[in-house]
Amino acid sequence: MKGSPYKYYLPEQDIPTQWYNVRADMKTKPAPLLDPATGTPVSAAALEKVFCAKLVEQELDNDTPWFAIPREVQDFYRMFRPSPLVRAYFLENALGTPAHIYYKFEGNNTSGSHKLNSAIAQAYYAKEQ
Amino acid sequence: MASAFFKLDCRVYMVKCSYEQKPFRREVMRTYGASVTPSPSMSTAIGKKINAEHPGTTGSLGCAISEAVEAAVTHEGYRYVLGSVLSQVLLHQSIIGLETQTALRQLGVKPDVIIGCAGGGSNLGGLISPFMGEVLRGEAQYRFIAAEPASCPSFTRGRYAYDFCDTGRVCPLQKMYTLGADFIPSASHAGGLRYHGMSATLSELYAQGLMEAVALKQTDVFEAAQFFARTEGILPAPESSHAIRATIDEALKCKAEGRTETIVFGLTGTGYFDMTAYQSFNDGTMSDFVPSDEDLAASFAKLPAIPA
Repeated sequence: MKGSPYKYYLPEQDIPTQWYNVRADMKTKPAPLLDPATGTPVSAAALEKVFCAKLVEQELDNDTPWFAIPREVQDFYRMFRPSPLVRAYFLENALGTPAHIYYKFEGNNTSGSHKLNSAIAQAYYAKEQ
Repeated sequence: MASAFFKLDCRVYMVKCSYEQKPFRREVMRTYGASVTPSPSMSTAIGKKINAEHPGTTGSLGCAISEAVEAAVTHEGYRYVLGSVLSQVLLHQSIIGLETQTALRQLGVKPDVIIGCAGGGSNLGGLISPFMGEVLRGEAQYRFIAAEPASCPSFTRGRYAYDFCDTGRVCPLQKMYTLGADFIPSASHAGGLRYHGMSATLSELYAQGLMEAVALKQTDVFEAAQFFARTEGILPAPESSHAIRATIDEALKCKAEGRTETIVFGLTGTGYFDMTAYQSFNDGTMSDFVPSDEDLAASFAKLPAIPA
């Protein structure tokens, strides 16, 4: 589309309230994690020594397509989300390409990267536990 | 930042060469309350072992993971938190792709190609998940391209096999595209995305032929980073610049073939903590390390024997 704005921010009410689990739509699922001692699929109990229980549930769930984002995590996301979708007009012109280029920019928070999206969720479940 | 928000104690095992190359990232973490230890350290059993076997090692993500997991399981009230590879991280990062999908719909734009940089797969998986869902449900067609470093080429030169997620071999085995758990990219590699393996979900999607991958040399990546900074204004992280390079290559292919297509890529972050890497590029001293087939064969020989 020619008329895309240089930067597009979703209206705040359109920030997703659920995460999407792509494994739910895969016919052939990713192979299970194996316990190195036995060579059999690793149990939730074994993983819970390392990760919070809620995160273990998410880790082992190949079937649930949507997970509600906890209210506290949604609130935190509002500090720096939505992140902008940028139309790279300057880059397109500099390259002289007929391609239309967009980028999703995750660097607008203090940590400078997308890693915060999962860090806050993992910290939330740790605190809850 | 997340730990400070929920008033949690945070201990970080930071790959030694990153600890040294990125002192300001370290200080940001400390400002938010984290204690930061260069890995391999002498504060864990596995750290001591790795230091004894590889004196002077600059560390790797695989070592740091082993140390952090050991610290978590041996200290009451601690759990391990990670940045990539596992499915829980891809799930949380789907916020990137979901926002992108909604925004494109509101703009009335349908992408043809979606490009993300790939280390352990957190950004790539998060960005492409909702779009891949459309493909898997037969609702749409997209090309997906993983952009990885030629110095750590898990998708393009790795084996799809069960392997250890960490050097200390304390974590579960995961089936993934891997260069071998002992693989450590050259210290001259400054572009991030240093993990030896890959997300199991993305590995399976790649094995099913639903995704493409390209391996890029770091001088080409930094050339793209500099070009992007000077045209679009944002100083990109070296990791993100792999996606920029792949996007520029795709856009130039469109130009050569007189084809219009819509490309969406993930710009995962800014490069302010990576100015040592930019400095070596600007000074012309940056080199391109690419592992030889012999290097990789030696690493593959140590993959654990697991029935397929």
